[in-house]
Amino acid sequence: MTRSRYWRNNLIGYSFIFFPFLVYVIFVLYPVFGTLQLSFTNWDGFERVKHFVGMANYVRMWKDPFFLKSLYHNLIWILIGTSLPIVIGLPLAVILWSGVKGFQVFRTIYFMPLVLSSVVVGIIWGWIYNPVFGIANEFLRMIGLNSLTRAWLGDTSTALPALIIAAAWQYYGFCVIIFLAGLQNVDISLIDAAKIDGANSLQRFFYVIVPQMRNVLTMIILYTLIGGFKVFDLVFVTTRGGPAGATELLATYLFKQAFQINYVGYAAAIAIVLAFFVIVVSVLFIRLRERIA
Amino acid sequence: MVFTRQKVKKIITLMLVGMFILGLSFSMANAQKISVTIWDGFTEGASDRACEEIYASFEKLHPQVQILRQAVGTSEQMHPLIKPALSSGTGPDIINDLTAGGYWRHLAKAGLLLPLDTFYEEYGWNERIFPWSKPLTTLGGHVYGIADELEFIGVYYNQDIFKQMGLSVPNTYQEFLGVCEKLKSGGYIPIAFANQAKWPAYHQFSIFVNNLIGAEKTGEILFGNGRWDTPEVEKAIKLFFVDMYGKGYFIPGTNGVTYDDGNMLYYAGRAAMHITGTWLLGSIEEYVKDFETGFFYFPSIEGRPIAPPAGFGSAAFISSATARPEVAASILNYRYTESAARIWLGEGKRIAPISFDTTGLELSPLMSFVVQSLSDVVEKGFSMGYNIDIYAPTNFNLMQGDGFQAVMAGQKTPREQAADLQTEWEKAKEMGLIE
Repeated sequence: MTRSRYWRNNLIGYSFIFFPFLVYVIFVLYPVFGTLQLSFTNWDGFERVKHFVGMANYVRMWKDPFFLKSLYHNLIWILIGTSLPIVIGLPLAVILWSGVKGFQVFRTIYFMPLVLSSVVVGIIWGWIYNPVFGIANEFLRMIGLNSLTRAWLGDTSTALPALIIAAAWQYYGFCVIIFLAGLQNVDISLIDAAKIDGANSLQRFFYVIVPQMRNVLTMIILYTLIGGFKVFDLVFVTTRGGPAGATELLATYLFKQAFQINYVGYAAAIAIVLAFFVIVVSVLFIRLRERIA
Repeated sequence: MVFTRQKVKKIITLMLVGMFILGLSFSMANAQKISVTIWDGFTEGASDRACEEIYASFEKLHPQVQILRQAVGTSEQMHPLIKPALSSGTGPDIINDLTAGGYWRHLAKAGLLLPLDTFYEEYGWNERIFPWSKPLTTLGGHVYGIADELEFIGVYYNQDIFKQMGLSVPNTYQEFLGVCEKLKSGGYIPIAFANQAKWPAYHQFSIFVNNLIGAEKTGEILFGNGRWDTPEVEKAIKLFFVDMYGKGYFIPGTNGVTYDDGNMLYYAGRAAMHITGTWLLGSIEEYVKDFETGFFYFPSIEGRPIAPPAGFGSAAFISSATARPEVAASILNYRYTESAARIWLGEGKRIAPISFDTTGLELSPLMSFVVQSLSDVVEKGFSMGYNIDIYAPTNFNLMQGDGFQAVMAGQKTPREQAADLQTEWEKAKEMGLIE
């Protein structure tokens, strides 16, 4: 096929992908490269001239205790915040899938928190954890565990775990729905065969169902992993990174640097490192899963 | 009368033509008008209504001017928008922003705000507007704005609880602690201090610094060569954030409770006192129906004279990219006339930075007290202190917020916090954000 004929034949196809690609270039690639460019400057977001500072922002980052603390909090969030909704969501999905009465009702109830915006979730959980009138402390008092009552979001040792629980509550319903969709592809005959071979329900779950859900699990883990790096709204609404930086995450720290202190260049460097982490962790995870498979 | 199809057609055609002509003349009339866009943060009922009223009365006096006002929201919402809007030259003509953190200084340094020196001369603002408001909007020898919303910080208290428990307004810090102790043992939250947003701590710090070292020395730190890392400042931090916090006089878990929830606890009568600014007056008058609220300035510490923190909560600026600087200035000029100031006080529950007659305005006893305090300042030279955060740059305020939370959490000593504040102050000086 000559080159001109190739173009003639594929012109319509290219015209279809041209506009989405243009949108992608304008709204994704351009800002990404713009951010990368800014990360090598000390721009404050106002001055017309952007002074080049080389790798200074990146060097500064690794000496900045607040950045390192935020990164550490993100890692905790990713570890617990990723596993918690999956650990809750997968068994719930399997129970629903096994033919529980009221399947539709439960599915709707589980999914409902995801429909709420994170701001609303933050406000709701702010009330739940309120040390004066919150139901968390009221419940503990009701069952005689007064000693466990505390200011959940005001205490540096409990604020982060309390927020992770709120995030898991919002997100586990999504996991249930995706797992339910994935369970439709599970080969029932394999489960029946395992039953005949004498496998109990736990063994069937771990050795028959879970391996068949590998792709769905990968998708969910990746999704929550990336979500774990970019958490912002829930923290901003409930604690603003406090108390005393106990819930400061990379995204909230970045926001503070860019829009409150106006260290836009430094914030851009943090954004680039954040993106780098997401890409590296995602690639590593996919490679690892492929190797195990 | 019979409507034939032809008649109906004629009527519809006539109506359409009429509407077209009306629309055309309306849009032509509008096209001849000079539009001025204003962005402000007055989203709350009283101030929002007052702004609308003031601008409507301006438009009545100047029919050729059309004011397009947008209540954008808090500075957290406004700042990410205003930066690109002004930089691209498509922003509003007038900006009304919070003074806290001095965000305007960044805008002025980048040449995005118009110096108003000539308008100060032209309109006589130097005489009309309180001269002590000027340093707040001055940078590099130029004045860029008009500071607005004169505010004081003091203690609101539930008079019914005080009466019921036989308490009286304290005159000394020791008496104040005694009141707190009695309220606590009576099952009340003594102080509705809710510090999730971190900025409420700024005001407590301002009270203790001003009352301990006095307004003059505080001013020396803010405008001269004074320092934050001194034993007096350390003590100011310790008294409130270590001692009073340790005694349990605040809302439990104060660092996790929002300012609004703190207000609710006061409105509901669960907290007996609330140390905050006069900006809450409107809300207290609106929501508190079951008890009387009183107001006093935080009492003397160790026999030193009190200096209640005062300041201007917001300021109005003009964009350097505006195509109509004269019109924008004339709007600002109107905003700070007596008639507008009366609307601002009567309807908006806010105090303009000018002297004006309040006769005939229906003011609550609480508002009257605040207005009286202001006239004491103006006429009798009663010494007010500085509300530190409105004079301080953002990096300093962020250190205040995070640092005071850390002090309460026991992760930082008052000495370390005082040293960190000094470091941030020096950083801001290097960046040219402090004069």
